[in-house]
Amino acid sequence: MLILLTTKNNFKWPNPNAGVFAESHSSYRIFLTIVFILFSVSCCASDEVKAQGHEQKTVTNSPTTGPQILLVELSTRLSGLLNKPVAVDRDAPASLYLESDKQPSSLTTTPLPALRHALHEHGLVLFNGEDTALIVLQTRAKHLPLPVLISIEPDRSELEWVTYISDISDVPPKQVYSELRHIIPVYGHMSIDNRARSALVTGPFGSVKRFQAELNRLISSHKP
Amino acid sequence: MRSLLFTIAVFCLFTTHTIFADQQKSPIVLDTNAVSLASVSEAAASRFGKTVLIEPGGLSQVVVHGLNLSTMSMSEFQAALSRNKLTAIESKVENTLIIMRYISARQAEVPLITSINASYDEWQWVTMVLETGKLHAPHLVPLLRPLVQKEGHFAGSNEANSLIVTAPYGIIRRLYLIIEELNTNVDSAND
Repeated sequence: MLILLTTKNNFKWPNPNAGVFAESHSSYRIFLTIVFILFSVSCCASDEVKAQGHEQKTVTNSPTTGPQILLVELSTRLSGLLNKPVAVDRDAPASLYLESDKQPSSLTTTPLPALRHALHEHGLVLFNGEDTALIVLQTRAKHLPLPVLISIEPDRSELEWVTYISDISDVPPKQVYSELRHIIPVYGHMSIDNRARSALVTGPFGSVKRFQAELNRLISSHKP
Repeated sequence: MRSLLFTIAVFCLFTTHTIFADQQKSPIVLDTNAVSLASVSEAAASRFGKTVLIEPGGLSQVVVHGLNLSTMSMSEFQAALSRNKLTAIESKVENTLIIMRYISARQAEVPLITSINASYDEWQWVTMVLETGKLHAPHLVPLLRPLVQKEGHFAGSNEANSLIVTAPYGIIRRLYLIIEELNTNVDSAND
């Protein structure tokens, strides 16, 4: 629009009856050149912005210094460790980064906690089901048939997703919700049942443990 | 008029470029390992000795990595389908399985189960009426609804004090355990 406004006074559109752009040949060429330059500049700028965005995403999502491995290879390794098939979400990324001190060849010796950690770093969760293990996006983890816990079991992995029911009869439910909701990841779930005086929490076991520790602190602060 | 046409043309050029650039930059996902749903259904038909039908309008390619199609069990098959937001449902027509999308599953003739000890696969879609005991069913809806896939069904009946849930069996079993535990906590809160 800017171009059209600035060239309005001396720009002449081609007259189809007067040959090929006979009257306005030079103006038309200038106009096209300007459009082409603007288009190229916008393309370059757009690509640069996207590249920067991609770089930032890579930095935040994964240790870029580590070697890249295919998720398919990792799931095969997990299948061997867990001795059951591992099905993978169709929207999962195709490749992951291992920690910087690991080599792709060391995948065969990488223990389960390290593999869980690599998945977690890439927004994925390992769910160890009855017959089949699953690798799913964190956004879908709360829709899995997760184990229901009523006490903190120390043997569980920090990154394993669970549903936990906690007794909050000694603390005002509103306070529990407002003060402890932030401990649970956004893709998790937390709700309070006033009648049962219970908090229902779904998230990684590490977050659940922190939730219970904070709850214990609240309970002790309410005791005379 | 001509300037308007020119502006529209330039705008279209920019838009097309942006769309193509976005397509090129989209992240690579596991689709590269996808196989055709038709071949999976053929494998399931020979493995389980059933006629397998595919609901139209769904995916043509699925990711079933980690699944050995020639030796898979029904629960492994269902788990792999679930990762593609698909499920297999027994049809009323004898010996027939229908592969359908999650979004269609709640309107299909899924089994109505009355006991949580039924022998169903974790990812098999079922409907169950869950009695909520001392808890008020409609109050439980906002508490528990986020734990069920949005494609499922979750409703509370005030009169029957029950929840009506259609979802994979594993999810319903989890809800059952949660409600049972909450009821125990109501008892201890009243004491």
